[in-house]
Order: sequence, then structure tokens, then C-alpha cells
Amino acid sequence: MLKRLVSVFLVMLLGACATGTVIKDFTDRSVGYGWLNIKEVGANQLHDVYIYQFRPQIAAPYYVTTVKEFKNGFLYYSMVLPNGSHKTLSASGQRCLALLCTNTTYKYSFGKQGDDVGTVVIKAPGVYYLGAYKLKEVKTGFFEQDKFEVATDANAPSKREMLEEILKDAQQIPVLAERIKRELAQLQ
Amino acid sequence: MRSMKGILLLLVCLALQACAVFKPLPVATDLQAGDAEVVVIGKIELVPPLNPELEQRTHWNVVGEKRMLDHVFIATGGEYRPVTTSRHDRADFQNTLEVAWGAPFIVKAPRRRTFLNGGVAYLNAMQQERLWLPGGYYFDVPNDAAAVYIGTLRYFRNDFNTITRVEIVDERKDIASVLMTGASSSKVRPSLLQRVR
Repeated sequence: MLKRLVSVFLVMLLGACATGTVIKDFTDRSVGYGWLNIKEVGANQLHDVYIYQFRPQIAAPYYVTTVKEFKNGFLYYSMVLPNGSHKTLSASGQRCLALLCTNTTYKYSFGKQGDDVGTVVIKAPGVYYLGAYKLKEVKTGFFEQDKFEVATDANAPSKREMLEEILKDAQQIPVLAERIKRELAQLQ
Repeated sequence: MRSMKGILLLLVCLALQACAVFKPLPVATDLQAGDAEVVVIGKIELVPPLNPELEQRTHWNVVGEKRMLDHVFIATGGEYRPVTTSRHDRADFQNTLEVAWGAPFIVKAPRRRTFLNGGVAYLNAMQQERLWLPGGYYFDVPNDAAAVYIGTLRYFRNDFNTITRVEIVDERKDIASVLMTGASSSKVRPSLLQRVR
């Protein structure tokens, strides 16, 4: 009986690990990228940035992005965005000093209402910029929830710098690498 | 031990208070209202409508979640005071028009010029993911009216849930659909919502 319970538990555990969809064909997918400056908020390291698909509505609308510390901020990108309306939904991180991090996780949510921050409408597969933003803490009362505001960051790295960094990871996917190169060529 | 009980009691009170964020206007069953009240009939719509399966998240452990997800909450009051959208302020929602999206409603409201100061709908009660709806509308109550029809307040949204347009539509056929007791629709005076100038 105990063996059976343990095996059911293990199967469920493995099932939970295997819920992500593996994408092998990228011809109908797009690259979406952006950059966040978090110097003026609680976290100084980002673990994750999510992009949310508003349209078309689907059962799994959250896209995990690759997050990299880059040029005094964090570059994030996804290479699997399908056609539709997408928005940078949230970023989470911690405050760390070398390898030591506090046990507080800071979550910066950009909300599911509004098209002013990190949005894109993808109509054809390509490379899309989601913007570069600076997050800034807003003072609140003692019993109030922490708040932050978002502003476009004029000191962000250029699109070229970001795309050149993303291209390093895209070499394994020729169709996307080609699109990024084409986008880089257009930036000249 | 006694202090522990006190803390528990305080926690329970706080938890219950959290459920009482909205004080709804009472639902009416007919066209009878007290001297200080008026029966109000209308409808609130969102275009395109929310898709509960794909846009809203449910959790087994959130008390009162169904009420929050199934309704839209419009703050009303005797003066124009737009709701605070940066945080949820209970003071804004002491006379809340709490209704199902797209279904005609019949409620009792204080007998006065009443302002719709903005509203909120929930996508995820646990994460407090909300959609804010702009206010800035009011209806008047004619002196001799026991009941008023205020129209359909129709919100249009874009892909990113930004409210891009608001319409007030006269759909008087809705009046008959909420009058269960056979009361005559002719007793309901039209007093369509007006935009605050």
C-alpha cells in the first residue's frame, strides 16, 4: 500500500515537472525583449520576468523569460511569443550581497490593465521590443503595501546592444537568429 | 492564554472585515421603496465580456471568491468623488452597486442625485488582480418617481483591458425582465445616466 502511494506521489511530482510545452518549430514564434533598471527598488537581483498573453485568450498565457544581468539592469527576453497581444506582467527578485540573499522576495507587478508599460501586439513573426523601464519605490504609509512607479529609462542600453546579447543564445535556432540579424541590420 | 484568545478574536474580526469591503445597495423585489429611497433599474456591460474560464483565476481557499469574481462593483454616492485606483479604499464602496455583468439589476438607492464614481471587477481575488472602471456619471430622481430606469452603462476595453470608451444605452426592454411581481413598467420613470461635466 505504502509503495503504491509513494509511486503515485512520484508520478504526480514528475507530471508537475512536465507541464511546460516544448516548442520545436519557431517559424510562427517571435522574440520579445525588454530591459529593467531596478536600482531604486528593494530587489537588486531578478529571478524571473513574466510576459502575459492577453489575446488570443489561452489556457496557459504566462511566458517565462530568460533574465540576464546586463548593462546596469536586467535584460529579459522570450523567443516563443505567438502572434497576439502581450505585456510584461511582472518581475520578481531578491536583495543579495554576493551569494547571500535576504529571504524577502520582491514582486513588481505591472498589472493586467493598461497598455502603457511593456506591451506589444504581434501580427507577424519577428523581433519585438517591449521597452526599457526604470522601477522606482514610492513612499507609503506604515500599514500600506509597498508601491513602485515605472518610467522609461533614457540611460538604458541600446536595442542593438540587447539584440547582440540575445543573438548569442539564439544561434541554436537558425530561424530566430536570422530574424535577429535582420532586425540588427535594420537598426543601422 | 487570555491574550492569545484576544489576538485570535482580533484576527477573526480582521478576516471578516476583509469580506465586508463592499456595502451593497439592497436588491429590490418590486417597485415599493421607502420615503427616502428610490428603486433603480439598469445594467452594466463590458465589451468584449470577461471570459471566466480564461481570464479569471479561482482558488479553493479564498472566502467569498465567487461573489468577487461574478460581480462588478460600482461605487455610488451623493457627490462626485472618483474612486482611488492606486489602492482599494473601503470608504469609496459604502453604497456599492453590486451586480452581475450584463444582467439587468433592480436595487434600492437613497433618493437623491446619485453619482457613479467608478468601479472594480476582479480577475483573481487572491492576487487582488482587478480591472478599474471609470466613473463620472450620475442620475437624477424626479420628484414623483418611485422607480427610475438609468440605462445600460457599457464599457468597451482594448486587448490590454484599458477602458477605451463608455456608452449609455437606452434598453427599456430590460425593465420588464426585472419586474417579477407583475408591476407595470409604466411606473418606472426613465432617468438615463448623464456624464459629469
